[in-house]
Amino acid sequence: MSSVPDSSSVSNQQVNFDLRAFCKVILHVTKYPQNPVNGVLLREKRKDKDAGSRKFVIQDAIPVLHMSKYTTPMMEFALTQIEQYCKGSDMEVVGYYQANESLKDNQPDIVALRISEKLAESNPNLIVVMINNDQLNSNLECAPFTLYQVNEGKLRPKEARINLLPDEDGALSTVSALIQAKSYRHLIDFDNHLEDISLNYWINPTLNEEIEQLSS
Amino acid sequence: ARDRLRKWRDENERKSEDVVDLFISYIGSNLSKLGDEKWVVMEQVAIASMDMHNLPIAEDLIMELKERFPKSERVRLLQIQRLNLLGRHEDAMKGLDAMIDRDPTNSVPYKRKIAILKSLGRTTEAIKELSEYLNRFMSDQEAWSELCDLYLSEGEYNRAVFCAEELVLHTPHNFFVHQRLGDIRYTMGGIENLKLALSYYSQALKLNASSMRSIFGLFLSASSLSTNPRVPPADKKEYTRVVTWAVDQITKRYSGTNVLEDGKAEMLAGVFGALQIQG
Repeated sequence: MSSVPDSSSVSNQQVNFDLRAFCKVILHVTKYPQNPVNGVLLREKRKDKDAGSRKFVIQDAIPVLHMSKYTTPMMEFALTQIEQYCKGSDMEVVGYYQANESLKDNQPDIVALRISEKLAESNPNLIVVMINNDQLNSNLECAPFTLYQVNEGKLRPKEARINLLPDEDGALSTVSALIQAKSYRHLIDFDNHLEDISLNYWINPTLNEEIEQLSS
Repeated sequence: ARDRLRKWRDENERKSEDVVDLFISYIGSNLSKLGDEKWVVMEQVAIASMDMHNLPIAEDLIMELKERFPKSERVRLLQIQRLNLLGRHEDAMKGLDAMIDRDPTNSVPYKRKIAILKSLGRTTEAIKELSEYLNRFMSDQEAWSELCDLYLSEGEYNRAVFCAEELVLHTPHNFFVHQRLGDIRYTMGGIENLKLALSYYSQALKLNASSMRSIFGLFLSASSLSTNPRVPPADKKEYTRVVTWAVDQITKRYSGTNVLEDGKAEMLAGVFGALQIQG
């Protein structure tokens, strides 16, 4: 299946992360250091007038699992809920992130491939972010990510520069401050939602506010 | 502070960050006031500080414990854990093998060794050792659960099912073990597995009517079966009934919260619609 080139698709050079998305991913991983975690990455849907001029920016993240990585039903349900959430809020899924259980194990595995392939059905330019566990630190020095893309049934490394917005130092110090303030305790993922469905894992409003406060 | 530490010890809670924080702020300077409890607390803090990769605290405590209890196997375990932290995994495993030789009835060193193998990505060896361990310690639920996870990570679903079924045999009144089997069977796919998933999720719900995982699982299994062309129409009717019931339950529960504020209530309907189309 060939993909029609999308003028707002990723330039082969740069993938930008908004502060909100970056912080949520890092906080999800930090909240569950002994577990594999995963989630999806979103941005606002393109409006036609934007065509051609838009930078590719990952604007938000929805944390999904920290349990039952190898079984499928909960992930399936979450992805369907997330798809519907996106429909209702004009967002689209543009990426998938995963952190493996083991410190030394940063490779995308069969779970990453399977989920990415599914998501890539609606978005062939899906960005797959594997967290480099060994780069995790309460004082991050850089974005601990390796990027991949789905290509011919495999996940292949994607050559692209990772750019943290509004600026690298600002983003890194904000996320470090959040970690030290233990804000990860306020992060809600789908697994948390399953224990208490009044918790909003799509938006994470409390966390959004904390990120906002710390960054201003 | 000492009460909290005691509570976490008794309940086997992994609150390493809190334990270390407490130690640094209160307990550390007041150890002598704890009397005999101080040794257990020191062990607890040593373990917690190693979990937090805080080697200096751990090493001090281990040294003191070794002086007081030079022949203790528990202290030996702490020393082995320290070796792990230093990356000296082969030495750690040799130490554990020696402990096993000295006392083959102690389950702890076996499990530590398996944990090390797992963390090194040596899953096949971990599985082998864990299977052997279970031949000896057949009623260790935690071990069956761990073996189930290891098999799942290797895609060995049938073997994972075997382990999960052991857990159901051991604790048939625990909804979680039924739900987990449901998850595995659903993952395996195909009509027979979906039917089994459905029955496991039903059982889980009988034991715990408020389990969201079980009701979502029930919905997914029934939904898949009700739209599968190879399912006879009479059965399809039954499955559709289950789907309707599940949708009703789920909607009721979400309505009891305001997590889906205006506009997002359609989202649920959309979810059910989308999942049924996918079948």
